[in-house]
Amino acid sequence: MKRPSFTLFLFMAGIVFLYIPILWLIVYSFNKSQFVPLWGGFSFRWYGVFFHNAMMMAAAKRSLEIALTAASCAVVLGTMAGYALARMGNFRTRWLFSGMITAPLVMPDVITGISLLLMFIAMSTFLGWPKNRGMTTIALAHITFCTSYVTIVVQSRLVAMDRALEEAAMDLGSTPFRVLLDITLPIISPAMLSGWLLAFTMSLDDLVISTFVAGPGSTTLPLLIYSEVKLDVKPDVNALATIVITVVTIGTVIAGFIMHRREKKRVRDEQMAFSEIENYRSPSMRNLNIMQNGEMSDGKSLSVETTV
Amino acid sequence: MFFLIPFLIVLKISLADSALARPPFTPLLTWIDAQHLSLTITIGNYQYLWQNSLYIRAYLNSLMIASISTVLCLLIGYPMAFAIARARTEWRNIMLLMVMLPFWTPFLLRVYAWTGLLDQNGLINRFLEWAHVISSPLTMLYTPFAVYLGIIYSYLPFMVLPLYATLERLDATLDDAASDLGARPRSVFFDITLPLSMPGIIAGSLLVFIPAVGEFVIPDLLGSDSNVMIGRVLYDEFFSNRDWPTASAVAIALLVALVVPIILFQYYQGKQLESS
Amino acid sequence: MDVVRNTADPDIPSDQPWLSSSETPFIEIRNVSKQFGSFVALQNVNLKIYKGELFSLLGGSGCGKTTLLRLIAGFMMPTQGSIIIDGQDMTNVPPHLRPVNMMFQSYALFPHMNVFNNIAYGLKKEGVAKAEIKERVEDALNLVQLRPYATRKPHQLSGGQRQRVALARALVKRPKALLLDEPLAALDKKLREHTQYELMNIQHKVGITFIVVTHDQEEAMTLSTRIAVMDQGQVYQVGRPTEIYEYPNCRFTADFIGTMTIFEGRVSGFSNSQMHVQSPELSNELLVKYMGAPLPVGTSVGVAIRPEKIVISPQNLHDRPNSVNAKVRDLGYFGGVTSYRMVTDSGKLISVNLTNVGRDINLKIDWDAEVHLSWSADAAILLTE
Repeated sequence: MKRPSFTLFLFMAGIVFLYIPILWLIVYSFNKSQFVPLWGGFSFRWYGVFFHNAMMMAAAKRSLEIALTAASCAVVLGTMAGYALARMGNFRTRWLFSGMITAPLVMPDVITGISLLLMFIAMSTFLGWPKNRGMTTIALAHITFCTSYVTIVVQSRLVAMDRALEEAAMDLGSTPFRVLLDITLPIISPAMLSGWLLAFTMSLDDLVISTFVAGPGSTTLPLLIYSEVKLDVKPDVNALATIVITVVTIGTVIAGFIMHRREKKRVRDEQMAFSEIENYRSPSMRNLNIMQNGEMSDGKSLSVETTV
Repeated sequence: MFFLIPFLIVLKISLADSALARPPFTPLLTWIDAQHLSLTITIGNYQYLWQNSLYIRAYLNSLMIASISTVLCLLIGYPMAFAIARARTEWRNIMLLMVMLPFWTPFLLRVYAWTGLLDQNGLINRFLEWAHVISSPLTMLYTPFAVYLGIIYSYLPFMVLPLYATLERLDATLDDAASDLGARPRSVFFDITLPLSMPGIIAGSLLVFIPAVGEFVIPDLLGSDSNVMIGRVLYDEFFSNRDWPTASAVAIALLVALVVPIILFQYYQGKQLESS
Repeated sequence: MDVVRNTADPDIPSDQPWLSSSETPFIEIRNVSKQFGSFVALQNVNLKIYKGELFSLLGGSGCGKTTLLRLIAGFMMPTQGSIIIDGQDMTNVPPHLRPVNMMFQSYALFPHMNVFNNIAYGLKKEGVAKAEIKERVEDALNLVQLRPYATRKPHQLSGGQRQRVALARALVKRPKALLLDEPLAALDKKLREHTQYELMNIQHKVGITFIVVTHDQEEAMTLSTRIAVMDQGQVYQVGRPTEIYEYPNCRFTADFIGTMTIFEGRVSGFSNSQMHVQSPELSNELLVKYMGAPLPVGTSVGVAIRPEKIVISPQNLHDRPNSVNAKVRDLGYFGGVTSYRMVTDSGKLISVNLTNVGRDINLKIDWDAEVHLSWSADAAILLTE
């Protein structure tokens, strides 16, 4: 155990390290200068440039479309896969199945990218679909790795969930299908939502896999940015980054606030319920309670009292 | 009846990943021809890899950069995770959020930010000059230093999260017990906390090491041409040289190097899921 | 274990050093208070614990007993007051430098070390020579009868075995005092009873002062030389188990230990070392044996009576003091005893225990039976606080 003040100092140093680039992105998006590393005064100029960049706008729209499609499909597939992994016990191909689910998570993107590309080519040779590489192949590729993320999130929620809830519903006369609709899905829905958000971000963030499976006319936003920043620093990219950071931060703060309030309410409710029990056990009732809780269930303590 | 749909997904995913399992270059050449043809080509590609020092160098270089970055990530990430785990309960989520928030900014943009910071005329050089630490700008961009920095920066949250998860679950009374038995604070850390956080150290290290070996964007944006990593070689073979079989062979070689860490990771992951 | 006795005072029994004013306490808690923010966990606690005692801190959850134990161990510093162990002020000494060891409620065995290394850990930190460590650990293993398990990891042991490893690990350091936090709580009932006696045996063998935190009054009664009854950060009474049970000094102790029926009333007179008390809950007068100076008439007091001290009789005792007519409302049959809850005409509930001397089921007093209850003046306790 190190001294807490020392580790706290290291933590703060780490946080500074993590936030310096973020701050740079924001501050320099207001840089008047064309040449980004130099500060040339405050200006909104690059926001205008960014919003008037038709290529950028089209790529952003494309990326959002792909992310929405991929995240939504991944939630459906990932929930089913997670359910299968968490609830179907040890079926024979389980190790293979779970291995395949987690593989894209840890595999370097270049390998996932190249193998997906080669599979698409093989598919178009044999099945005649997808004919060309483009939006469809990017979306399919994204669905594949996004499904992995959703599966992990849903599976761990299902493993943590009390099986007795499902058994109770079954015991009360629900069919397995109704149990799934009435009990399981509502309980795992927060996990599905966070899985969706994770998939959406991952899809928007992906560059390497898209590089492999993209075709002409399907340049996504990361692909476009990559080709722009590869050679030089571009101030309108700073503007874009600032917009993204603002949206993400506001979203996170709102989500955090809602979660914090919900947590506080839960704690308060529990405290209230607890104090109700406490009031019920007022001192005048204590004898009665000791009798009911202690001795009635436990004859031993009685005999001790009588012999001591 | 309800088993059907998940099994269809099994089928779908096994299809998608079968390209991983089988050498992905075979489809290119053997779908039309007989099987044995592909076999000869395969061996040829690997021989080519072995004989060419460029590939060997890039390969070893990648492993080295990934290893060093992983160790540095661990050294930076451990105190951070430790600080979060030992903070008061109401602070923990906020501190965790502080670590996670940069992670939600697109990866590419965060790497791009370093190009601006490390530039000859960038903020860091300006700051050091202002502070009279240096007299003329340092060349930091397009150096191995920049690559290490970029990798550590990008993968730090992957190290902190599993470490925090392990440290947070450690029983604090074990620390009390050790100090009660006469261990100084330093011994408590090295005798109890560190060995018990090993699962988190392993998970975090693998989570950094595996993608770092195949990293492509960071060395491409921040590194120099003399310090090539295997991901870049693969990319060049595929897109610039259009030599798909060689690119595929590179991918398989990379995968072979990562098979052990990946299996290790999945093993630990499976164990954690079961224990939780 | 031989403790140096004060031979100058022949009236003090040798096993009750606390009665002597010249005996120095081994562990002394002086005016200790502990606050967490605005929450007061301990309020001006004073305790003197003597060498060789098996001292229990007894109370419900949140009464401050564990906080007190952790203060003695050194995991926390008191907000106020001081802690003296064997004549040395230990108030601000960190835990690893204190001559006391703790047995944790969860046992806190190091999961990555086997039994031998768990027990040896404290000696290694002390810098004891390897050969001596081996010898002392083996002695400790023999003491708790775990010799064959030395190479096992904690998760390969049963609950009772883990408890014994934890005990051996703390004892092997030969501490001046052993602190035990709910030592038996994690064991099942059968094992608990057995371990209770084993713990007493071991304490007797090693002669180390034990301080036990427990919420289980039965456990405290069986184990302890003395008990401190605690609630809301305060010590209400310190005494031998019999004293605590038969002579509670306040309403809290009377109510907390065992079962007690308490009649609220006012003093109406004094004669023959007996206080006379009138209670609106009882038509007859109450008589309580009282050795102190008589209380003024009108003082509000409580008269407490244990269930086993009440006699159930068939004949009517209308006008006698310390008697009442009642009806059986509830009964619980435990084999050796039957526990009744009686209700009087005024609606007062009275707990009564009856030892089942005979075997004839037909003689048992059943639901709704009308009975007459009485007790003697020296069976009742006068509570002024």
